Amino acid sequence: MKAISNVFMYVFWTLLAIAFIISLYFFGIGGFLKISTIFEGSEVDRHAVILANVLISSDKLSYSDENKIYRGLLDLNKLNRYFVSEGTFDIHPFIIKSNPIIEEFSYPNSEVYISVWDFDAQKSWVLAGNGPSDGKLAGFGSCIFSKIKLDPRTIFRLIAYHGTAALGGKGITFVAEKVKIPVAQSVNLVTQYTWSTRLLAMTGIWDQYDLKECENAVATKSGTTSKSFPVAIRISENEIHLGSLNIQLTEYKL
Amino acid sequence: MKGSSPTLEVFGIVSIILLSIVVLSLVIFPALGELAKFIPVDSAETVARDLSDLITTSSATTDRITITYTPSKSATYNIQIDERIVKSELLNDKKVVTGKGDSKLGINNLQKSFSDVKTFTIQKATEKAEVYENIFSVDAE
Repeated sequence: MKAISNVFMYVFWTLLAIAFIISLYFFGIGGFLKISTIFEGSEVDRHAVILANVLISSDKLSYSDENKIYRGLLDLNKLNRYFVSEGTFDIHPFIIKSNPIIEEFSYPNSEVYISVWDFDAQKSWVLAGNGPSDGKLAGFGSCIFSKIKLDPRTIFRLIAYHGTAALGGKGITFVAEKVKIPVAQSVNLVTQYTWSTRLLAMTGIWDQYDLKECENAVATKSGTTSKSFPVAIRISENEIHLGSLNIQLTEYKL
Repeated sequence: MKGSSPTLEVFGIVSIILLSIVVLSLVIFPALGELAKFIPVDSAETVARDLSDLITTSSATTDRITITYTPSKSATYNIQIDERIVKSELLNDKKVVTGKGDSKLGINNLQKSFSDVKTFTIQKATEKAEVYENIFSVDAE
């Protein structure tokens, strides 16, 4: 009887020791993930802050006269030239194309979405694109195009989503053209692929898990971050509005 | 026989040893490795990261800026800047590469390469600057 009791006690203590080690493992995993997140996440955060500072100090975006560049004072004319205003944004992929600002200031293997809000006029401008890629992000395009769904249910969803626009715009041809436009443009295929496909995903041609699968297949994400910075927008010589520049940066590993 | 069965004892000890090895190899060693890359101020990874951030940040000047960066009193580096990536190699006393690191650069059109250097000088001046005219240079010695 005593021997049986000892066996039970031993089994109990062994199980307790194993449970303790397993819990250490999970706490350890948590710690490791935290360490990785701190380092990799902080890098993306740092890049977003630097990029935003470079942008608001750039002659391409900020107001400048003959003598100096006014950091943080965005020029309305330059915003209209390089950004897309909210009213015209819609979901047309061809307007999201290679942009001098993103060509000059962007991190490799990254996606960036920049928006500027004018609080006084209740107006906004957006700009989206990719930094130079080593080809991994281009693989995203071929992956996602291999997953196009044009079954009757998707077509129905598509028409429901677009309503008369889809019917009036030649139905499926309308969609096919939207797919072909970014492919046909040779300005920046990576930009065209990733952002246009993401926008087109809203139409239901792809499911969200297809997008996720293709993202994971082509590159390992380092992290995503969003930052906002107060700016002023120079409307005219006598009019300045308050606003913000918001930047969303997603980086993939080299 | 007194106490528990020797088979159980052996099983318990072996299980605990195996689990400990799993914990060490899967969690603790990678975490320490991750930390080891970033803690030293003069490692190749840190220098690549600092250099890329300093160069990109210098673009934010609205007039002119000069940055002198010396990561360590004694360490020297091979640096290659190309395709918006800064690659760094840490050299030891015998000029043998002992560590490598790379980091992303946020600006365009910069290609430089330096061998066995200790100090970096980053200069940027906009077209608006009085003395300089649209300078952007990274030098090392």
